[in-house]
Amino acid sequence: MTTAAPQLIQATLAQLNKVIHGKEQQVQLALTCLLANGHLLLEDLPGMGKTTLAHALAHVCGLEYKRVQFTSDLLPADLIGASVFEQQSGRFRFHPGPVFSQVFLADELNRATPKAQSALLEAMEERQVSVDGTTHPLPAPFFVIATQNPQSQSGTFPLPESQLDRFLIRLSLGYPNPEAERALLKGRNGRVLLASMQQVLNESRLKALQSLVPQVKMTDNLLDYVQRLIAYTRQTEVCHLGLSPRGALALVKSAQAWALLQARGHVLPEDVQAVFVAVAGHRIIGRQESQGEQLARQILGKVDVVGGGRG
Amino acid sequence: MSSGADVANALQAQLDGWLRQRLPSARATTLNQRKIFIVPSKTALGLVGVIALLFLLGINFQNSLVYIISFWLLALLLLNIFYTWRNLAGLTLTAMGVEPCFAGEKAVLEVALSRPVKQTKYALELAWKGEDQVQVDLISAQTLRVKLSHSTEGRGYFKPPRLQVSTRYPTGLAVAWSYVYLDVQGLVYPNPVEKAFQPIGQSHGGTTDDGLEIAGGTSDFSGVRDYQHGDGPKRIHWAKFAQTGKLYTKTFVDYASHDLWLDWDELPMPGIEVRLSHLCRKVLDFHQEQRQYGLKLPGKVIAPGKGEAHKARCLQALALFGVVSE
Amino acid sequence: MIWLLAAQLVVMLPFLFDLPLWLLPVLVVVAWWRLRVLAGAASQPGNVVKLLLIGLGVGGLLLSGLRFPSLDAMATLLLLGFAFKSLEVVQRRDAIVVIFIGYFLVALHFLYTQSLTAALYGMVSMVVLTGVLVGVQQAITEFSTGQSVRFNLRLAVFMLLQCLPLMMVIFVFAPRIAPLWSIPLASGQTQTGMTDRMAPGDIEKLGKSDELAFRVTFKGKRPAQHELYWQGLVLNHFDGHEWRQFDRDYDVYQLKTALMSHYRWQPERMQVQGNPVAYEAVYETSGQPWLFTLSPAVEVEGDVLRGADYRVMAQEALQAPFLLKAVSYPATQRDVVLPEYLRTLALGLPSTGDQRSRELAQRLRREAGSEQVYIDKVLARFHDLAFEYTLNPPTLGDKDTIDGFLFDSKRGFCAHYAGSFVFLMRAAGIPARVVVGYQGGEWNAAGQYLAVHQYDAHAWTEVWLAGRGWVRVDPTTAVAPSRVEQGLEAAVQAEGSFLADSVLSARKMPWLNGVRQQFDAVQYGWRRWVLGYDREEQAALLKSALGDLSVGKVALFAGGLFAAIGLFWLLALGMAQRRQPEAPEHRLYRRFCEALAKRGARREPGDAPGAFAHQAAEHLPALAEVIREFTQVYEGICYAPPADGRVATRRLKTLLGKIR
Repeated sequence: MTTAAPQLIQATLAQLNKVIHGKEQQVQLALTCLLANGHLLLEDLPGMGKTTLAHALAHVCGLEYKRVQFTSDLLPADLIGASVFEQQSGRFRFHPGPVFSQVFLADELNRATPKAQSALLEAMEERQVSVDGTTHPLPAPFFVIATQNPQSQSGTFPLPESQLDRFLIRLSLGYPNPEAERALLKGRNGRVLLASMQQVLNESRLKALQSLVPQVKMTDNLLDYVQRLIAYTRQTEVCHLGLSPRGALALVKSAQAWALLQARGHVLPEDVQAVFVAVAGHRIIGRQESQGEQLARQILGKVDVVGGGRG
Repeated sequence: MSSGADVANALQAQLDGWLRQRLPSARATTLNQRKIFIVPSKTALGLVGVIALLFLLGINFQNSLVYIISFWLLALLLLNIFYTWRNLAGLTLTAMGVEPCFAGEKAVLEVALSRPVKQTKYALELAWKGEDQVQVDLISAQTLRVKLSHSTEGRGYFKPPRLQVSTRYPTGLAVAWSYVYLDVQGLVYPNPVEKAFQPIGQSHGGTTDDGLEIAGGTSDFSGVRDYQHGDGPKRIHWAKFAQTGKLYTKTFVDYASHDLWLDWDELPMPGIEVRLSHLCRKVLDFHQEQRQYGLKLPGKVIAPGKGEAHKARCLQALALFGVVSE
Repeated sequence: MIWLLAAQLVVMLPFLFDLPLWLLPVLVVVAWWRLRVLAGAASQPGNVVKLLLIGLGVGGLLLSGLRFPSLDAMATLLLLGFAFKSLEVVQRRDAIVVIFIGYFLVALHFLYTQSLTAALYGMVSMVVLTGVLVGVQQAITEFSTGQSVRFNLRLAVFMLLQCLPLMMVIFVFAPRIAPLWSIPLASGQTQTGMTDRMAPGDIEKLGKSDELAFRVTFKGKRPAQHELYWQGLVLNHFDGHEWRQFDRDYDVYQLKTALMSHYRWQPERMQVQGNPVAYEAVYETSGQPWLFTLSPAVEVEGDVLRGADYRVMAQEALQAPFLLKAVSYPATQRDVVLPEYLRTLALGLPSTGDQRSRELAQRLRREAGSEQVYIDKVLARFHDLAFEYTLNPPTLGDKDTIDGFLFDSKRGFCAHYAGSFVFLMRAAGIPARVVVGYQGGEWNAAGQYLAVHQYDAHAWTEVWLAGRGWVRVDPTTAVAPSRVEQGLEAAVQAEGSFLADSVLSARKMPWLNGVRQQFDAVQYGWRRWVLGYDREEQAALLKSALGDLSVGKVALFAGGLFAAIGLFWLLALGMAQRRQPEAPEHRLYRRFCEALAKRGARREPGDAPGAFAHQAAEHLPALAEVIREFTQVYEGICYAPPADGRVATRRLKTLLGKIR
């Protein structure tokens, strides 16, 4: 398995890139998130291929997949399921909602009311659901991909900062490059291509890959760098809200998964840098008006990669 | 009297200037030889007295051991100066920033103290004269964050005055100190009025004060409808079921907030500061009510939004209204 | 604060041996009260109680009969204040006052004893006090009480040790000034050793003590053991029972007056001849002014008095060990012409008593042709009539003690022989006198010195012979020659009485002798070089080190030493600003970046090594290969440590060389 891991990952990436054209970086980050066993938040304008990416990920991993379009009238019960009164038996029976799936796509998460959002986020955090006093565990792996429109759009309920923290990685796909757009215009539609995708991974292979992530080595030198980054975000003058310990853990885990994606047994500063914006962007809030992503990029430019003592 | 005060002020200004030159302000300062001042303390004078007495005793009784004790204490007094000095030397102070506050409240400066790897530091005292002081040790921790508060007067930027770092460790026979000018500034928001002027914040063409109803919500009861497959047991109108034998489901609504605008020009009262104080109160209220709001100031508009970051942005705009940025 | 109390107890403890006993319960009560206050069980005493306590203390002081002003009184007063102060320690200031008094008391105790043990104990007290001083100044919240006490004590030890070199320099160089005024040292200082009178039985008591009297280092050849007659006092006056110096008792001041007037030393009365014996002696604290030298001491260094009987005597009773340097010429002829005053003294006898002895003397003198023959006859008599040398002679009563010894008991110690011999001489009209002092001593090979103990106390005689002056005669040798050849232990071996009373004496354990002698040698060094370091010693030392004693030179030298110690402190304490050392690979990498920056490829702080290498290689295609390899090795060391980092670091150096 270990020797096959790089090949498996390469094959998976190849399949994904076939569908999502010209977004190698984002595709890798999405897969990183999956390997690091975290949840993914896609933030983009409608029509950028968020749903396609989610579909493709589920498909290539051979996982069970459900999708729910979030609207303002979505109830928590619509997500997690409800006890239903069966008139024949005169008793209630729990009908699991769509959240009981291995890959759950929450489309336009910020259109739903805070109550529905909280229900999902709680399920994500605890990986189980409690209905009427009974606890129902969610399947494993459980991978939530949520998409959301940029906050400035009207009619939305932006996620509070504390809940954004539940997502390991936040990505935006952005407009396609001209080449990819040309292909798209020529009729190379991602949704159509989905059908031609091969399933490379399955549940057990994915679990095996996930178990490799913590084994990727991190030296003291690397952790020094990570700590320098974290310390910088915590300077009150730079950030209104610095990186929490959970955020720091997420950064390290993602960097490991990224290194694994690069078929490396150890983490390099490049790996940390590659995931830093996606991991930290939605967890820190700047003093000035700049966006988290921009701020994260600035921080990367300012913190020295090299240095540290020995012993 | 005035001329004497003038001279004193001039001297003070000159001293400050000299100190500033010697201790330039920076985000992070490492205390080194040039920056540390050291003098024996009053306690040391007492010990000098004891040493002198012992020396006399030694002379009078021609007793070598009494001499030795006297000289030993003298050596201790001298050595202690090195120790005290070392306890401060190499200490790095980094300004982490100043927490924003409201005018009249205490501004809180956060400073990170870090020690050289192979040294430990004890009983370091950070102080603003007459304002606040705090004592810390750096033993197991390499770096420690310390918060100090300082009173503020008006809104705008708060620039922390020079900070005194001192230590008497280990024996209290010498005092080493240094002044640190930290190059940070913090925001001081306007002082919010107790109670906001009511008409402000009327919605633009809104219908109810609560905003738009959203059907299928969960907050407020709005009516009853026929039972549909999948409705939860909590929503079933059991009283009606008992009466009619038919299942009905209770429905609820949520309210989607519409955008509220805080507009400078709509305020009826005169005076810049008064208006800012009112707007400040309103921002705080809306934030607490979790509503979506925007801010319009002459020359600056902040689009509606909510959340901590949005509040911070609005308050910053209020704090810096008319303040020339540096 | 409980540690402050502990430190106080440590400081006060040694005083209990020297000061009035009633102090003990007072201190215990105060300590107990303090403990209760600390435990919260009692409150700080009110003003009334404080006044009462002070009144009690002062009252006790007055009642205990201490003389004012005296050292004892001062020490007792200080101790009381020290103890009472602990009752009202509420603030840091009070605690500091207590600690400073504590320092003072540590020094004060050295006026009572300066032994090595006391000095070591003083060091412990210093450490404890300094530790408490550190503890009083600040509480370190991170430490538990036990931890901080251990930490503070360790710090105190380090600091005090680091102070030692400077302390020694000051000790050596600080000017020694003559006493400004004099305070009577002790109210009732105990006196040990030789006294200025000799009754039968007095010297035996000393013979049973193994306390040290003095130590001697010889500068040249050591005289033979039987030559070592350490003269202390000359006893001229006999009242029928007891030998004394003069016909009445002189106190120290009267004695001083006498030694400066009619009984003064007159060097012209001796004819110096023979070989000199140069030596230095350190006398233990005896509470008496007597010093012991080989007679006659012709040259003497030190502030001493000398007398017509060739004695050497200190100005004051010895309250501290005393160093004397002397050169003696034992073969010198003394008083070839005997002044009338001395002759009268040397012939005086009580008008009555000891009739049989007087008759014996006259008979023997008649039979003898000359004085010398007479002396020999008397000595032979001791030998022939089987007189016995013993540490436990029978008591002789108050009257006719000479008769009792010579005719009845015939058993005695040196005092008996010396006393009766002089009696017999004077009865025959020959000037004679008793000399008391010490004879012999124990050679310490480890320390190369002679240790003279109390049991070496001895009494012998001097007889004046026309044309020869004073001649030393030791009648004890007639009965027990081994006393002079081998010492008291050998002389009374058969009797088994040597140190019979001190069961635990280390002397009884021969296997311990080596250790005992070593320890004694250390103590002697202590006495000689530390306690004995005074103005003369200072001058001699500086002279030998610097050649001459110009102020400038001494100041320069001392200044140099000061500077050296300051520098040592700086280095030892790591005060020279030491930056956090960066690992060698990082240093090399920075140099690598600098080298590339000179060629136009600048690395921003946020550039990871890999990314930068890529950039730099594009910018500098000629160096691309080296840059890539360097980066690879560096990344390897930093992020995927190789088995041997040193090899990799060397490789980095080689590669760096290629770039430069």
